[in-house]
Amino acid sequence: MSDIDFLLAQRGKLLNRRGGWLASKGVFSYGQDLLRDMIPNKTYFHVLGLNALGYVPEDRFCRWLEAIFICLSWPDPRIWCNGIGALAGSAHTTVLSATAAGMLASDSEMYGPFTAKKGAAFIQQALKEVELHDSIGDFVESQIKMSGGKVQLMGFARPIATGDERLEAMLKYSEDLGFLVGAHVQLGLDIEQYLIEHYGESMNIGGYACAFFSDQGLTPEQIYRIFPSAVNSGVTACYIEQVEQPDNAYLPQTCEDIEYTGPTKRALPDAVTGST
Amino acid sequence: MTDEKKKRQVEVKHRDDQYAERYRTSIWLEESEHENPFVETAAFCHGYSFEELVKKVSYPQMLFLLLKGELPSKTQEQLLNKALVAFCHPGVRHDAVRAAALAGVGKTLPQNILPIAMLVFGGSRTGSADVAKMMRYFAKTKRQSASEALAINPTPIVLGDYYGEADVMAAKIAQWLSQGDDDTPHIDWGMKLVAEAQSENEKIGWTKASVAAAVFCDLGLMPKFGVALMQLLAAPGLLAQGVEHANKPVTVLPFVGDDDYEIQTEFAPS
Repeated sequence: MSDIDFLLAQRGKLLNRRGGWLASKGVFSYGQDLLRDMIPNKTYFHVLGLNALGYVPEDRFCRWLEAIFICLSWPDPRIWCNGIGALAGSAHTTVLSATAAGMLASDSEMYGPFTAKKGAAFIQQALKEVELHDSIGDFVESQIKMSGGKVQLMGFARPIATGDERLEAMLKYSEDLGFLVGAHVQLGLDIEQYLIEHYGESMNIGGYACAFFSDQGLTPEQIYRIFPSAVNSGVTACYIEQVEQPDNAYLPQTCEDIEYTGPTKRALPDAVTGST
Repeated sequence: MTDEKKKRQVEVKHRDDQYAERYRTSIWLEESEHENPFVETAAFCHGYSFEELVKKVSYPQMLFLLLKGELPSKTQEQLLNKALVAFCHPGVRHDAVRAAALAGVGKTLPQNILPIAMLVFGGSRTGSADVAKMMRYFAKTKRQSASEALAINPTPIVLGDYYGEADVMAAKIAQWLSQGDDDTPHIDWGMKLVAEAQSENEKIGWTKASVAAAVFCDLGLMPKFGVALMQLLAAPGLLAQGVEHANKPVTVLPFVGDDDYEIQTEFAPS
Protein backbone atom coordinates (compact mmCIF):
# COMPACT_ATOMS: atom_id res chain seq x y z
CA MET A 1 0.00 0.00 0.00
CA SER A 2 1.41 3.41 -0.96
CA ASP A 3 1.59 6.25 1.53
CA ILE A 4 -1.34 7.97 -0.16
CA ASP A 5 -3.44 4.79 -0.19
CA PHE A 6 -2.66 4.35 3.51
CA LEU A 7 -3.88 7.86 4.28
CA LEU A 8 -6.99 7.42 2.14
CA ALA A 9 -7.83 4.25 4.07
CA GLN A 10 -7.73 6.22 7.34
CA ARG A 11 -10.28 8.84 6.28
CA GLY A 12 -13.26 8.82 8.64
CA LYS A 13 -11.96 5.78 10.48
CA LEU A 14 -9.87 5.14 13.56
CA LEU A 15 -8.14 1.86 12.89
CA ASN A 16 -5.66 -0.30 14.73
CA ARG A 17 -6.17 1.46 18.06
CA ARG A 18 -4.71 0.32 21.35
CA GLY A 19 -7.86 1.01 23.29
CA GLY A 20 -11.07 2.96 23.48
CA TRP A 21 -14.73 2.88 24.39
CA LEU A 22 -16.94 0.43 22.60
CA ALA A 23 -20.57 1.03 23.48
CA SER A 24 -22.16 -1.99 25.20
CA LYS A 25 -18.77 -3.70 25.44
CA GLY A 26 -16.75 -1.49 27.73
CA VAL A 27 -13.66 0.67 27.96
CA PHE A 28 -10.35 -0.90 27.10
CA SER A 29 -6.68 0.01 27.18
CA TYR A 30 -4.03 -2.34 25.89
CA GLY A 31 -6.44 -5.23 26.38
CA GLN A 32 -7.31 -4.31 29.96
CA ASP A 33 -10.97 -3.82 30.80
CA LEU A 34 -10.87 -0.61 32.79
CA LEU A 35 -14.30 -0.94 34.34
CA ARG A 36 -14.37 -4.63 35.14
CA ASP A 37 -10.70 -5.38 35.84
CA MET A 38 -8.93 -2.18 36.81
CA ILE A 39 -11.49 -0.44 39.02
CA PRO A 40 -11.92 -3.27 41.52
CA ASN A 41 -8.32 -4.41 41.51
CA LYS A 42 -5.96 -1.54 40.71
CA THR A 43 -5.23 2.10 41.51
CA TYR A 44 -5.13 5.23 39.40
CA PHE A 45 -1.36 4.90 39.19
CA HIS A 46 -1.73 1.45 37.65
CA VAL A 47 -3.87 3.04 34.95
CA LEU A 48 -1.40 5.91 34.56
CA GLY A 49 1.35 3.35 34.05
CA LEU A 50 -0.80 1.30 31.70
CA ASN A 51 -1.67 4.23 29.45
CA ALA A 52 1.90 5.54 29.40
CA LEU A 53 3.78 2.26 29.09
CA GLY A 54 1.33 -0.14 27.50
CA TYR A 55 1.30 -2.66 30.35
CA VAL A 56 0.09 -2.79 33.94
CA PRO A 57 3.17 -2.23 36.12
CA GLU A 58 3.64 -4.27 39.27
CA ASP A 59 1.97 -2.98 42.44
CA ARG A 60 5.14 -1.81 44.18
CA PHE A 61 6.20 0.13 41.07
CA CYS A 62 2.90 2.00 41.16
CA ARG A 63 3.31 2.78 44.86
CA TRP A 64 6.79 4.08 44.10
CA LEU A 65 5.38 6.13 41.23
CA GLU A 66 2.76 7.65 43.51
CA ALA A 67 5.49 8.53 45.99
CA ILE A 68 7.63 10.29 43.40
CA PHE A 69 4.58 12.31 42.36
CA ILE A 70 4.33 13.47 45.97
CA CYS A 71 7.97 14.54 45.76
CA LEU A 72 7.33 16.60 42.65
CA SER A 73 4.22 18.43 43.75
CA TRP A 74 4.77 20.97 46.51
CA PRO A 75 2.42 23.75 47.59
CA ASP A 76 5.12 26.43 47.43
CA PRO A 77 4.62 29.25 44.89
CA ARG A 78 8.33 30.07 44.80
CA ILE A 79 8.76 27.08 42.51
CA TRP A 80 8.27 28.33 38.97
CA CYS A 81 5.33 26.19 37.89
CA ASN A 82 3.59 26.77 41.21
CA GLY A 83 4.17 30.50 40.88
CA ILE A 84 2.17 30.36 37.68
CA GLY A 85 -0.59 28.62 39.59
CA ALA A 86 -0.53 31.43 42.15
CA LEU A 87 -0.57 34.13 39.46
CA ALA A 88 -3.49 32.35 37.82
CA GLY A 89 -5.22 32.40 41.19
CA SER A 90 -4.46 36.10 41.49
CA ALA A 91 -5.95 36.58 38.02
CA HIS A 92 -8.99 34.46 38.96
CA THR A 93 -8.66 31.97 36.13
CA THR A 94 -10.41 28.65 36.50
CA VAL A 95 -8.60 26.03 38.55
CA LEU A 96 -8.12 23.94 35.43
CA SER A 97 -6.55 26.78 33.46
CA ALA A 98 -4.24 27.43 36.38
CA THR A 99 -3.24 23.82 36.79
CA ALA A 100 -2.75 23.27 33.07
CA ALA A 101 -0.64 26.45 32.84
CA GLY A 102 1.54 25.32 35.72
CA MET A 103 1.96 21.88 34.25
CA LEU A 104 3.00 23.43 30.94
CA ALA A 105 5.55 25.54 32.75
CA SER A 106 7.12 22.36 34.09
CA ASP A 107 7.84 21.31 30.50
CA SER A 108 11.15 23.03 31.07
CA GLU A 109 14.80 22.72 30.18
CA MET A 110 15.68 23.47 33.81
CA TYR A 111 13.40 21.31 35.95
CA GLY A 112 10.39 19.04 35.79
CA PRO A 113 9.31 16.22 33.49
CA PHE A 114 11.11 17.45 30.37
CA THR A 115 14.47 17.18 32.08
CA ALA A 116 13.70 13.55 32.94
CA LYS A 117 14.19 12.58 29.32
CA LYS A 118 17.66 14.07 29.28
CA GLY A 119 18.43 12.79 32.76
CA ALA A 120 17.53 9.25 31.79
CA ALA A 121 19.51 9.47 28.58
CA PHE A 122 22.48 10.71 30.59
CA ILE A 123 22.50 7.97 33.23
CA GLN A 124 21.87 5.25 30.64
CA GLN A 125 24.67 6.52 28.44
CA ALA A 126 26.90 7.01 31.48
CA LEU A 127 26.50 3.37 32.43
CA LYS A 128 27.87 2.42 29.04
CA GLU A 129 30.65 5.01 29.04
CA VAL A 130 31.90 4.81 32.57
CA GLU A 131 33.68 1.56 31.84
CA LEU A 132 35.79 3.38 29.27
CA HIS A 133 37.25 5.58 31.98
CA ASP A 134 39.76 4.76 34.67
CA SER A 135 37.40 5.76 37.46
CA ILE A 136 34.11 7.44 38.28
CA GLY A 137 36.06 10.61 38.97
CA ASP A 138 37.68 10.42 35.56
CA PHE A 139 34.25 10.09 33.95
CA VAL A 140 32.74 12.93 35.98
CA GLU A 141 35.64 15.23 35.23
CA SER A 142 35.29 14.49 31.52
CA GLN A 143 31.63 15.55 31.73
CA ILE A 144 32.47 18.71 33.65
CA LYS A 145 35.16 19.55 31.12
CA MET A 146 32.59 19.24 28.32
CA SER A 147 30.38 21.72 30.20
CA GLY A 148 33.10 24.34 30.34
CA GLY A 149 34.09 23.50 33.91
CA LYS A 150 30.56 23.66 35.33
CA VAL A 151 28.79 20.85 37.17
CA GLN A 152 25.96 20.42 34.70
CA LEU A 153 25.44 16.67 34.74
CA MET A 154 21.75 16.13 34.07
CA GLY A 155 20.17 14.79 37.25
CA PHE A 156 22.77 16.24 39.57
CA ALA A 157 22.74 19.53 41.47
CA ARG A 158 19.54 21.60 41.54
CA PRO A 159 18.50 25.27 41.39
CA ILE A 160 18.12 27.37 44.56
CA ALA A 161 19.65 24.85 46.98
CA THR A 162 22.32 22.22 47.24
CA GLY A 163 21.31 18.77 48.39
CA ASP A 164 17.87 17.24 47.96
CA GLU A 165 15.90 16.05 50.98
CA ARG A 166 13.55 14.02 48.80
CA LEU A 167 16.25 11.54 47.90
CA GLU A 168 16.63 10.19 51.40
CA ALA A 169 12.90 9.61 51.67
CA MET A 170 12.70 7.88 48.30
CA LEU A 171 15.77 5.72 48.90
CA LYS A 172 14.19 4.48 52.10
CA TYR A 173 10.80 3.96 50.49
CA SER A 174 12.38 2.03 47.64
CA GLU A 175 14.06 -0.22 50.16
CA ASP A 176 10.78 -0.65 52.07
CA LEU A 177 9.12 -1.73 48.84
CA GLY A 178 11.82 -4.32 48.29
CA PHE A 179 13.60 -2.72 45.38
CA LEU A 180 17.27 -3.54 45.21
CA VAL A 181 19.72 -0.84 44.17
CA GLY A 182 20.16 -1.38 40.43
CA ALA A 183 23.10 -0.53 38.24
CA HIS A 184 21.83 2.93 37.28
CA VAL A 185 20.95 4.00 40.81
CA GLN A 186 24.29 2.68 42.06
CA LEU A 187 26.08 4.65 39.37
CA GLY A 188 24.10 7.73 40.35
CA LEU A 189 25.12 7.29 43.98
CA ASP A 190 28.75 6.77 42.97
CA ILE A 191 28.72 9.93 40.85
CA GLU A 192 27.04 11.75 43.70
CA GLN A 193 29.71 10.63 46.14
CA TYR A 194 32.41 12.06 43.89
CA LEU A 195 30.48 15.31 43.41
CA ILE A 196 29.89 15.71 47.14
CA GLU A 197 33.58 15.26 47.88
CA HIS A 198 34.85 17.55 45.14
CA TYR A 199 32.10 20.03 44.33
CA GLY A 200 29.58 19.96 47.18
CA GLU A 201 26.84 18.88 44.77
CA SER A 202 24.60 15.83 44.91
CA MET A 203 22.05 13.87 42.93
CA ASN A 204 18.65 15.56 42.63
CA ILE A 205 15.29 13.83 42.82
CA GLY A 206 14.91 13.90 39.04
CA GLY A 207 18.26 12.22 38.59
CA TYR A 208 17.36 9.56 41.10
CA ALA A 209 13.99 8.96 39.48
CA CYS A 210 15.65 8.63 36.07
CA ALA A 211 18.15 6.13 37.45
CA PHE A 212 15.41 4.16 39.21
CA PHE A 213 13.19 4.06 36.13
CA SER A 214 16.20 3.05 34.05
CA ASP A 215 16.80 0.14 36.40
CA GLN A 216 13.17 -0.86 35.77
CA GLY A 217 13.92 -0.99 32.05
CA LEU A 218 12.19 2.21 30.95
CA THR A 219 13.50 4.27 28.05
CA PRO A 220 13.97 8.04 28.36
CA GLU A 221 10.83 8.64 26.29
CA GLN A 222 8.79 6.28 28.47
CA ILE A 223 9.97 8.13 31.56
CA TYR A 224 8.88 11.46 30.05
CA ARG A 225 5.52 9.93 29.16
CA ILE A 226 4.84 8.75 32.69
CA PHE A 227 5.57 12.14 34.22
CA PRO A 228 3.63 14.90 32.41
CA SER A 229 1.17 15.57 35.22
CA ALA A 230 3.67 15.20 38.06
CA VAL A 231 3.49 18.78 39.34
CA ASN A 232 -0.25 19.31 39.01
CA SER A 233 -1.30 19.00 42.62
CA GLY A 234 1.19 21.56 43.90
CA VAL A 235 0.07 24.01 41.24
CA THR A 236 -3.55 23.51 42.22
CA ALA A 237 -2.70 24.10 45.86
CA CYS A 238 -0.96 27.38 45.03
CA TYR A 239 -3.88 28.46 42.85
CA ILE A 240 -6.43 27.74 45.57
CA GLU A 241 -4.46 29.55 48.24
CA GLN A 242 -4.15 32.64 46.07
CA VAL A 243 -7.63 32.77 44.57
CA GLU A 244 -9.00 32.96 48.10
CA GLN A 245 -6.78 35.93 49.01
CA PRO A 246 -7.78 39.61 48.57
CA ASP A 247 -7.38 40.96 45.03
CA ASN A 248 -3.86 41.83 43.85
CA ALA A 249 -2.32 40.41 47.01
CA TYR A 250 0.24 38.15 45.30
CA LEU A 251 3.56 40.00 45.52
CA PRO A 252 1.99 43.35 44.54
CA GLN A 253 4.20 45.78 42.61
CA THR A 254 3.94 49.53 42.46
CA CYS A 255 5.06 51.25 39.27
CA GLU A 256 8.27 52.19 41.07
CA ASP A 257 9.00 48.57 41.89
CA ILE A 258 9.86 47.85 38.26
CA GLU A 259 13.37 48.76 37.20
CA TYR A 260 13.18 50.15 33.68
CA THR A 261 16.44 49.81 31.76
CA GLY A 262 15.32 50.80 28.26
CA PRO A 263 15.80 53.95 26.20
CA THR A 264 14.90 57.30 27.69
CA LYS A 265 11.67 58.89 26.57
CA ARG A 266 11.74 59.89 22.92
CA ALA A 267 9.42 61.24 20.25
CA LEU A 268 8.24 59.13 17.35
CA PRO A 269 10.27 59.74 14.17
CA ASP A 270 8.74 62.08 11.64
CA ALA A 271 8.64 59.27 9.10
CA VAL A 272 6.35 57.25 11.34
CA THR A 273 4.19 60.21 12.18
CA GLY A 274 3.86 61.04 8.50
CA SER A 275 3.13 57.48 7.44
CA THR A 276 -0.11 57.19 9.32
CA MET B 1 21.41 -0.11 49.92
CA THR B 2 21.99 0.17 53.66
CA ASP B 3 25.70 0.75 53.20
CA GLU B 4 25.03 3.37 50.56
CA LYS B 5 22.53 5.12 52.81
CA LYS B 6 25.08 5.33 55.58
CA LYS B 7 27.54 6.92 53.22
CA ARG B 8 25.13 9.61 52.10
CA GLN B 9 25.61 12.76 54.09
CA VAL B 10 23.94 15.46 52.09
CA GLU B 11 23.09 18.72 53.73
CA VAL B 12 20.28 20.70 52.13
CA LYS B 13 20.98 24.40 52.17
CA HIS B 14 20.21 27.44 50.08
CA ARG B 15 22.80 28.47 47.54
CA ASP B 16 24.36 31.90 47.79
CA ASP B 17 22.77 32.95 44.49
CA GLN B 18 22.09 36.66 44.33
CA TYR B 19 18.55 37.19 43.10
CA ALA B 20 17.42 40.52 41.67
CA GLU B 21 15.63 42.73 44.15
CA ARG B 22 13.33 44.14 41.47
CA TYR B 23 11.87 42.99 38.18
CA ARG B 24 13.90 44.56 35.40
CA THR B 25 12.79 45.35 31.84
CA SER B 26 14.01 47.42 28.95
CA ILE B 27 10.67 47.17 27.14
CA TRP B 28 7.98 48.87 29.13
CA LEU B 29 7.92 51.77 31.56
CA GLU B 30 4.93 52.63 33.68
CA GLU B 31 4.67 55.84 35.66
CA SER B 32 2.20 56.85 38.30
CA GLU B 33 1.09 60.33 39.20
CA HIS B 34 -1.85 58.87 41.06
CA GLU B 35 -2.09 58.97 44.83
CA ASN B 36 -2.21 55.20 44.62
CA PRO B 37 1.27 54.10 43.44
CA PHE B 38 -0.15 50.88 42.00
CA VAL B 39 -2.21 52.78 39.39
CA GLU B 40 -0.22 53.76 36.30
CA THR B 41 -1.10 57.00 34.56
CA ALA B 42 1.41 56.86 31.70
CA ALA B 43 3.25 54.13 29.84
CA PHE B 44 6.16 54.01 27.41
CA CYS B 45 7.42 51.27 25.10
CA HIS B 46 11.14 51.44 24.43
CA GLY B 47 10.94 55.12 25.20
CA TYR B 48 7.94 55.96 23.02
CA SER B 49 4.74 57.22 24.59
CA PHE B 50 2.11 54.50 24.61
CA GLU B 51 -0.47 57.12 23.76
CA GLU B 52 1.49 58.20 20.69
CA LEU B 53 1.97 54.61 19.62
CA VAL B 54 -1.73 53.84 19.92
CA LYS B 55 -2.59 56.87 17.84
CA LYS B 56 0.13 56.72 15.20
CA VAL B 57 1.72 53.34 14.52
CA SER B 58 0.46 50.23 12.79
CA TYR B 59 0.26 46.83 14.44
CA PRO B 60 3.31 45.52 12.51
CA GLN B 61 5.30 48.56 13.65
CA MET B 62 4.29 47.99 17.25
CA LEU B 63 5.07 44.28 17.09
CA PHE B 64 8.49 44.98 15.59
CA LEU B 65 9.19 47.60 18.27
CA LEU B 66 8.33 45.15 21.03
CA LEU B 67 10.60 42.44 19.63
CA LYS B 68 13.50 44.56 18.37
CA GLY B 69 13.42 47.67 20.51
CA GLU B 70 13.31 49.94 17.48
CA LEU B 71 10.67 50.81 14.93
CA PRO B 72 10.99 49.01 11.59
CA SER B 73 12.04 50.57 8.32
CA LYS B 74 9.31 50.90 5.74
CA THR B 75 10.56 47.75 4.01
CA GLN B 76 10.64 45.79 7.25
CA GLU B 77 7.15 46.99 8.15
CA GLN B 78 5.83 45.86 4.77
CA LEU B 79 7.50 42.47 5.08
CA LEU B 80 6.19 41.90 8.60
CA ASN B 81 2.75 43.02 7.51
CA LYS B 82 2.82 40.47 4.69
CA ALA B 83 4.01 37.77 7.09
CA LEU B 84 1.19 38.57 9.50
CA VAL B 85 -1.23 37.84 6.67
CA ALA B 86 0.68 34.90 5.19
CA PHE B 87 0.84 32.94 8.43
CA CYS B 88 -2.48 34.01 10.00
CA HIS B 89 -4.15 30.68 9.18
CA PRO B 90 -2.32 27.35 9.23
CA GLY B 91 -4.85 25.75 6.88
CA VAL B 92 -8.24 24.29 7.68
CA ARG B 93 -6.95 20.70 7.89
CA HIS B 94 -4.07 21.54 10.21
CA ASP B 95 -4.09 19.65 13.51
CA ALA B 96 -4.12 22.94 15.44
CA VAL B 97 -7.19 24.20 13.58
CA ARG B 98 -8.94 20.89 14.18
CA ALA B 99 -8.01 21.14 17.86
CA ALA B 100 -9.48 24.64 17.97
CA ALA B 101 -12.70 23.44 16.37
CA LEU B 102 -12.89 20.44 18.67
CA ALA B 103 -12.44 22.67 21.71
CA GLY B 104 -15.06 25.10 20.43
CA VAL B 105 -17.65 22.46 19.68
CA GLY B 106 -16.84 20.72 22.94
CA LYS B 107 -17.87 23.95 24.67
CA THR B 108 -14.45 24.39 26.16
CA LEU B 109 -14.36 27.68 28.04
CA PRO B 110 -13.61 30.39 25.50
CA GLN B 111 -10.47 31.55 27.28
CA ASN B 112 -8.97 28.11 26.75
CA ILE B 113 -9.67 27.65 23.04
CA LEU B 114 -6.84 29.75 21.65
CA PRO B 115 -4.17 28.49 24.09
CA ILE B 116 -5.18 24.91 23.27
CA ALA B 117 -4.85 25.48 19.53
CA MET B 118 -1.59 27.37 19.88
CA LEU B 119 -0.12 24.55 21.94
CA VAL B 120 -0.95 22.07 19.22
CA PHE B 121 0.52 24.48 16.69
CA GLY B 122 3.72 24.32 18.74
CA GLY B 123 4.42 20.82 17.46
CA SER B 124 7.46 19.97 15.38
CA ARG B 125 5.51 18.46 12.49
CA THR B 126 3.96 21.29 10.45
CA GLY B 127 4.07 23.56 13.49
CA SER B 128 6.38 26.11 15.03
CA ALA B 129 8.60 24.03 17.33
CA ASP B 130 11.64 24.02 15.06
CA VAL B 131 11.52 27.61 13.81
CA ALA B 132 14.37 28.74 16.07
CA LYS B 133 16.58 25.88 14.86
CA MET B 134 15.67 26.76 11.29
CA MET B 135 16.58 30.41 11.87
CA ARG B 136 19.95 29.34 13.23
CA TYR B 137 20.47 27.16 10.16
CA PHE B 138 19.76 30.07 7.80
CA ALA B 139 21.96 32.43 9.77
CA LYS B 140 24.84 29.99 9.86
CA THR B 141 24.58 28.57 6.37
CA LYS B 142 23.51 31.45 4.17
CA ARG B 143 27.12 32.44 3.49
CA GLN B 144 27.59 29.18 1.61
CA SER B 145 26.23 28.46 -1.83
CA ALA B 146 23.17 26.21 -1.91
CA SER B 147 25.18 23.35 -3.38
CA GLU B 148 27.88 23.72 -0.74
CA ALA B 149 25.28 23.74 2.00
CA LEU B 150 23.65 20.56 0.67
CA ALA B 151 27.00 18.86 0.23
CA ILE B 152 27.68 19.41 3.92
CA ASN B 153 24.15 18.53 5.02
CA PRO B 154 21.90 16.90 2.40
CA THR B 155 18.85 16.95 4.71
CA PRO B 156 18.82 20.33 6.42
CA ILE B 157 16.08 21.08 8.92
CA VAL B 158 14.61 23.76 6.63
CA LEU B 159 13.63 21.22 3.97
CA GLY B 160 10.83 18.73 4.31
CA ASP B 161 7.88 17.04 2.69
CA TYR B 162 4.15 17.49 3.05
CA TYR B 163 2.01 14.39 2.66
CA GLY B 164 4.99 12.87 0.88
CA GLU B 165 5.31 15.75 -1.60
CA ALA B 166 6.91 19.16 -1.77
CA ASP B 167 4.62 21.66 -0.03
CA VAL B 168 3.20 23.70 -2.89
CA MET B 169 1.55 26.30 -0.68
CA ALA B 170 4.70 26.85 1.38
CA ALA B 171 6.63 27.49 -1.86
CA LYS B 172 3.98 29.95 -3.01
CA ILE B 173 4.09 31.82 0.29
CA ALA B 174 7.87 32.11 -0.07
CA GLN B 175 7.37 33.58 -3.53
CA TRP B 176 4.72 36.00 -2.30
CA LEU B 177 6.95 37.21 0.53
CA SER B 178 10.09 37.61 -1.54
CA GLN B 179 10.95 41.24 -2.03
CA GLY B 180 14.27 40.77 -3.81
CA ASP B 181 17.72 39.85 -2.67
CA ASP B 182 18.41 43.06 -0.78
CA ASP B 183 15.33 43.00 1.39
CA THR B 184 14.65 39.29 1.76
CA PRO B 185 18.08 37.63 1.42
CA HIS B 186 17.20 34.61 3.54
CA ILE B 187 14.04 33.82 1.61
CA ASP B 188 15.87 34.21 -1.67
CA TRP B 189 18.78 32.06 -0.52
CA GLY B 190 16.22 29.50 0.65
CA MET B 191 14.70 29.43 -2.81
CA LYS B 192 18.10 28.59 -4.25
CA LEU B 193 18.51 25.86 -1.65
CA VAL B 194 15.09 24.41 -2.47
CA ALA B 195 15.81 24.48 -6.21
CA GLU B 196 19.14 22.77 -5.71
CA ALA B 197 17.61 20.11 -3.45
CA GLN B 198 14.72 19.48 -5.82
CA SER B 199 17.14 18.77 -8.64
CA GLU B 200 17.88 15.58 -6.70
CA ASN B 201 14.51 14.99 -5.05
CA GLU B 202 11.43 16.83 -6.25
CA LYS B 203 9.37 15.63 -3.29
CA ILE B 204 11.06 17.89 -0.74
CA GLY B 205 11.04 21.65 -0.44
CA TRP B 206 10.04 24.53 1.79
CA THR B 207 7.95 23.89 4.84
CA LYS B 208 5.68 26.64 6.12
CA ALA B 209 7.81 26.81 9.25
CA SER B 210 11.00 27.21 7.25
CA VAL B 211 9.45 30.04 5.23
CA ALA B 212 8.51 31.74 8.49
CA ALA B 213 12.04 31.19 9.77
CA ALA B 214 13.52 32.80 6.67
CA VAL B 215 11.20 35.80 6.99
CA PHE B 216 12.06 36.23 10.65
CA CYS B 217 15.76 36.19 9.71
CA ASP B 218 15.11 38.81 7.05
CA LEU B 219 13.44 40.94 9.71
CA GLY B 220 16.57 40.66 11.82
CA LEU B 221 14.77 38.92 14.66
CA MET B 222 16.61 36.71 17.10
CA PRO B 223 15.95 32.96 16.88
CA LYS B 224 14.65 32.86 20.45
CA PHE B 225 11.53 34.70 19.26
CA GLY B 226 10.88 32.38 16.34
CA VAL B 227 8.85 29.54 17.84
CA ALA B 228 6.39 31.67 19.76
CA LEU B 229 6.18 34.35 17.07
CA MET B 230 4.96 31.83 14.53
CA GLN B 231 2.36 30.70 17.09
CA LEU B 232 1.31 34.31 17.53
CA LEU B 233 1.01 34.82 13.79
CA ALA B 234 -1.27 31.77 13.50
CA ALA B 235 -3.51 32.90 16.35
CA PRO B 236 -6.14 34.76 14.28
CA GLY B 237 -6.94 31.73 12.14
CA LEU B 238 -6.98 29.44 15.15
CA LEU B 239 -9.27 31.82 16.99
CA ALA B 240 -11.67 32.16 14.07
CA GLN B 241 -11.90 28.41 13.46
CA GLY B 242 -12.22 27.64 17.15
CA VAL B 243 -15.10 29.99 17.66
CA GLU B 244 -16.87 29.32 14.35
CA HIS B 245 -18.89 26.42 15.72
CA ALA B 246 -18.57 27.22 19.41
CA ASN B 247 -22.27 27.53 20.14
CA LYS B 248 -23.44 24.68 17.95
CA PRO B 249 -24.33 21.12 18.95
CA VAL B 250 -21.57 18.53 18.94
CA THR B 251 -23.24 16.90 15.94
CA VAL B 252 -21.87 19.73 13.78
CA LEU B 253 -18.59 17.77 13.63
CA PRO B 254 -18.22 14.24 12.22
CA PHE B 255 -18.07 11.49 14.81
CA VAL B 256 -16.39 8.16 14.19
CA GLY B 257 -18.94 5.42 14.89
CA ASP B 258 -18.09 2.07 16.44
CA ASP B 259 -18.20 0.42 13.03
CA ASP B 260 -15.26 2.61 11.98
CA TYR B 261 -13.45 2.28 15.28
CA GLU B 262 -11.19 -0.72 15.38
CA ILE B 263 -9.09 -1.94 18.29
CA GLN B 264 -6.02 -3.99 17.39
CA THR B 265 -6.65 -7.70 17.54
CA GLU B 266 -3.95 -7.98 20.18
CA PHE B 267 -5.85 -5.59 22.47
CA ALA B 268 -9.42 -6.28 21.40
CA PRO B 269 -12.00 -7.29 24.01
CA SER B 270 -12.95 -10.94 23.88
